[in-house]
Amino acid sequence: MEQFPRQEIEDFLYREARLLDERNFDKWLEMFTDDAEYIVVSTKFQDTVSSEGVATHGKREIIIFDDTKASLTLRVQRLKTKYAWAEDPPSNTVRVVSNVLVEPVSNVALVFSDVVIYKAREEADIDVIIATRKDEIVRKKEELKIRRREARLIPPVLNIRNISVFI
Amino acid sequence: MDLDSLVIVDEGLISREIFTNEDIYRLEQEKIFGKCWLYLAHESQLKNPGDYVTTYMGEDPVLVIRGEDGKIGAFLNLCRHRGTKLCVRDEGNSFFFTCPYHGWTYNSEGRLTGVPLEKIAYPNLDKSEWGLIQVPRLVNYKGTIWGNWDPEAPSFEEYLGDMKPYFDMFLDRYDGNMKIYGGVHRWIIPVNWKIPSENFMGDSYHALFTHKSAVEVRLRNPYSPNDFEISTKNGHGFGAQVGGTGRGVEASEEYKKILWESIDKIADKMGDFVRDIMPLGHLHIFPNFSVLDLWPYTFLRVWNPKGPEKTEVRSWLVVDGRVSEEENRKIAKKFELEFGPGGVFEQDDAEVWFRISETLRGPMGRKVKLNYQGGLGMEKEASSVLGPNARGILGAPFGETNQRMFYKRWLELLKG
Ligand code: FES
Ligand SMILES: [Fe+2]
Repeated sequence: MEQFPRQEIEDFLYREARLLDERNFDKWLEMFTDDAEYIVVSTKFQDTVSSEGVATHGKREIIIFDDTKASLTLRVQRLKTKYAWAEDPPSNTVRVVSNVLVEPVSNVALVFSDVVIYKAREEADIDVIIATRKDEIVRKKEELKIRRREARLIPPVLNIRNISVFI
Repeated sequence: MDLDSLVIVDEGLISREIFTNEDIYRLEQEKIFGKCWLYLAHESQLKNPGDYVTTYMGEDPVLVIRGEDGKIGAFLNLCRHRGTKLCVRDEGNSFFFTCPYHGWTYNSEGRLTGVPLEKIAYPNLDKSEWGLIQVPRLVNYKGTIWGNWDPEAPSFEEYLGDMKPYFDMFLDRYDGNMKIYGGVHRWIIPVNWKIPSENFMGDSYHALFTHKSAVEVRLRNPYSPNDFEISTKNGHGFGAQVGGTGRGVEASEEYKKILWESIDKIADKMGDFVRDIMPLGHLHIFPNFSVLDLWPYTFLRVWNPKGPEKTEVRSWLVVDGRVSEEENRKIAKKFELEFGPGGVFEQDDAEVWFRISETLRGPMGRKVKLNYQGGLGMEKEASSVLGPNARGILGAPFGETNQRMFYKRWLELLKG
């Protein structure tokens, strides 16, 4: 069974946050496996009734990002054009990553973490994006890689005009 | 207020005041959102008795529900006792709604059915008079549910006017198989609701620049000059690249086959021009309902006003139920990459719209008259170019006729 010391996983997530804050997107992409999935959802409350007429109060996910490594790469390429207005000039960001929990499942580390992203631009108010994440992290040739990320945004109605940063 | 001096349609001049003024905003709530047909829901969200969605009509929250009796009704989403918002979920299924304040309970047909301690606290209450306030006019138009607060309003078909054949083309294409896929995206953009509305109504022009990054990364073919814009006299409109925006982008054989079969069917009835204008591209029904109907995917929009400079976007991907789940998932993936709060197109739309609001603070900035003169005076009857079954006015490619007609209608209603 593969070992995933928490210190190593935490360092990995901090390094990821730093790469994004420094806008080193190419290096960031390398942190994902080639078959990676990258999903961002928001959560709604919903009442449902089963066919037996039993009411349940549940949650429902609304998918906002449903990316592969190829589409993430395309997003990064777009940011490098001269016409990515949502990031022109580039936002200043700080990602605060916390509450890291690691659960090894055979050769995968299931990693839970929370992230608060502060995004500052020109004269606009600072956007705060809060998400809780569940990553599947694997080891490929000694190096850690994200095989799947699922980030859940906290607000059911996003009070921000766009999500122009990676979560 | 001299509204005529703010909106001079014949000269293509519009004052920025209309995007920020509080009095105008309040007038709109009453004269536009209180009198026009407003999109509420899609039938596929309300299949079973008790299925409901919540939305807004202008600033008024409404609950749209299929009652136990099988009929769809729409109600002001507030308790008659103190006005507490009754249902705070986007969608679900329930046969009763209990207010959290004092526990009054209403059923799925809007009737007040339960009042705690009724015999002691409200011995003389006639519950039949205190049901939810019902939206008096409701229509299910080919699966799309619309409401209107004005009992005197013309029928929905009359309201569509010359837009009817085009809206029919859009809906008929699905042959009753249209369904909402994956729930509703909701987010807030700091901009007046008319800005995104006019954009979806007629602004092919912005795609060339706002969305240039999409061409650079080969998400789109370079935009061709072959653009058309069609406006109807009552403030609705649509337009696209001839042949459909995004034609040539990858789509599965399965999806293309269903698309082409339905387009051919409609073309046989309406004329060959249909093959050139479907999918319909950007489409807008006055005041705040939009569609973006492209080759790769189609979505519905409502731009809910939340104050002069705040709009809540509601966005629903629609798919064809005849297409396999696997293919629809791929369509959804593409939609999410391009539109929605994280979409590579929509991110930039929100950014440029926000920058419009940023310059409305100063007394000089809000007085400025804007140029809406694109293609002014170049309009033709659509039938003279596209064939006898085409209705409405054909504007110049990348022109702003649709926007001018939108504000013409807006002005008429505000003054009415
Ligand atoms: S406000 Fe609803 S029961 Fe009192
Ligand atoms: Fe756009």
